Amino acid sequence: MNKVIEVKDVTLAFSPDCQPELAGINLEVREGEFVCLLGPSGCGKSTLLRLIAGALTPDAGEIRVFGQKKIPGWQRLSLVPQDSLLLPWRTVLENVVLPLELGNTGTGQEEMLRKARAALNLVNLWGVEDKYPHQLSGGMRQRVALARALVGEARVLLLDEPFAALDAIMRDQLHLEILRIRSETQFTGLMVTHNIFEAVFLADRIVVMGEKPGRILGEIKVDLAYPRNLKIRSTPVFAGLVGAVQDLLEQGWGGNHEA
Amino acid sequence: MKHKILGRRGGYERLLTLFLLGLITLLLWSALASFYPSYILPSPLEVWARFQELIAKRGLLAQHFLVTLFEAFAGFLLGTAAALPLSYLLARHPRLDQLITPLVVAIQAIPIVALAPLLVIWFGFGLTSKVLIAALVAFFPVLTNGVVGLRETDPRLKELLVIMGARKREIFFKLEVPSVLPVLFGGLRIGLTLSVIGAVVGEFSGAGKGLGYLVYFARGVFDTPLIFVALIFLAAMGVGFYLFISFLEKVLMPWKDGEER
Repeated sequence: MNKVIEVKDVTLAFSPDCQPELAGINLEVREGEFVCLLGPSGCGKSTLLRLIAGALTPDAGEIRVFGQKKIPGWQRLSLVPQDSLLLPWRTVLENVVLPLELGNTGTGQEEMLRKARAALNLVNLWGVEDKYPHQLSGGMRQRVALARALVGEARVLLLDEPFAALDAIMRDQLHLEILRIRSETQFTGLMVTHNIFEAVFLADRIVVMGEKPGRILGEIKVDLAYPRNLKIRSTPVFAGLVGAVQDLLEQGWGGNHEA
Repeated sequence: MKHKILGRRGGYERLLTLFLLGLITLLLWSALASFYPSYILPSPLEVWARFQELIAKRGLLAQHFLVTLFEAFAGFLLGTAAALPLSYLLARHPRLDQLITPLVVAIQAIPIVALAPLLVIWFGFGLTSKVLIAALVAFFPVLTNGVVGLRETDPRLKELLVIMGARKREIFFKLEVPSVLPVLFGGLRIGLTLSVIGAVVGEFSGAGKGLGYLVYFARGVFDTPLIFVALIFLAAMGVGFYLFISFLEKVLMPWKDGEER
């Protein structure tokens, strides 16, 4: 299968005096895959996502998305940020249409709105088009952010701990939405999380990261069949995978955590 | 709360409360005035009579009112027009900010009352000096709030828009302008109020027209009822400006309606 994201020997330090944020990162994501980047807070997994999105430039190494080094653009690669990051002065519909408006070259207003409405329907949001973000619950805001990521029909979605701020039930609902939308649109996903269960439930492959400096410890393939439902979380296979991820994570903790 | 004198809900109750408050004030004022001669504290009826006298001289009061209104509003616009681009520059270039801000603070520290006579000497007894004085006092709060507001633009939103492929112009109009508005409006509100004070102070320092001039003139001849008439009109102007800004806020920031503040 085609590689859509290639990260080669990437190193990044925010300042030259301290330890690099990321050191010698190698990562590949193939078309149609859903990969989770899992690691403790501060291991640089969100930074890696920002590098891939083109918001940061690595000190060394290279990043290619669809084989190219330049910023891919929202129509090819989009992002679901932490805390939804909606513009508070725009209604839900206006927020979703924003990526189409920016740098627009000739798509008509009607066509853009039609796409935005289709994206809202895809994430199961109805009747909130004209509401402002502050009028929505956290879960609904995150759905809007998801719709905004889907509106340009991007083939690759980067998800930066999109469900970290939600309660467990809301998170379950959105996990199922992600699985459903994946089966409908076949997007490629790279999601950052520090929740092991979330990672095992959603991913085809889990890349485990360690901290100081941020580095990749290893990866675990998740061979759970689709469609997945919430009940698979109580199966022994699932528990086994969680255990395997846990073992890998603990390698990154070093000796002083053993006692 | 502070933005809604007459909210949609409970509008009737609020009107009634305002009316009763006004009535009580007038009664207390009348009672107090009965202890003093008119040149110390005129009663509401005496003020009303003086007002009628002025009305009889057609257009005179309106002329004074409009002169002050013009000075304050034109000064506010001028001050804002000067402050906005400068606030953008200062917010964008911290080194320029370091250079200019001490100067701004120093000028701001000079009481406008002390500065006004100088501006009258330089720019004459006409409207120009008053507009400039009003502009000067309105300038600072708009500048300060503009800088603060622009600095508060969420860098994560900016990064997101860059990833979306936004051009610089789009980031300015679609992100920076809307994010600066709430803070900026605080500055505009203060600036507009101060511009009235600026215009009046300017008229004190030498003028032949305006509500401030009326107060100045009336003081000279102990026409205390006239002072009250002028003060009431100044207060009315202040309320008018306040409502104007509130209206602008509603039009320009519809998303703020009903948001917790």
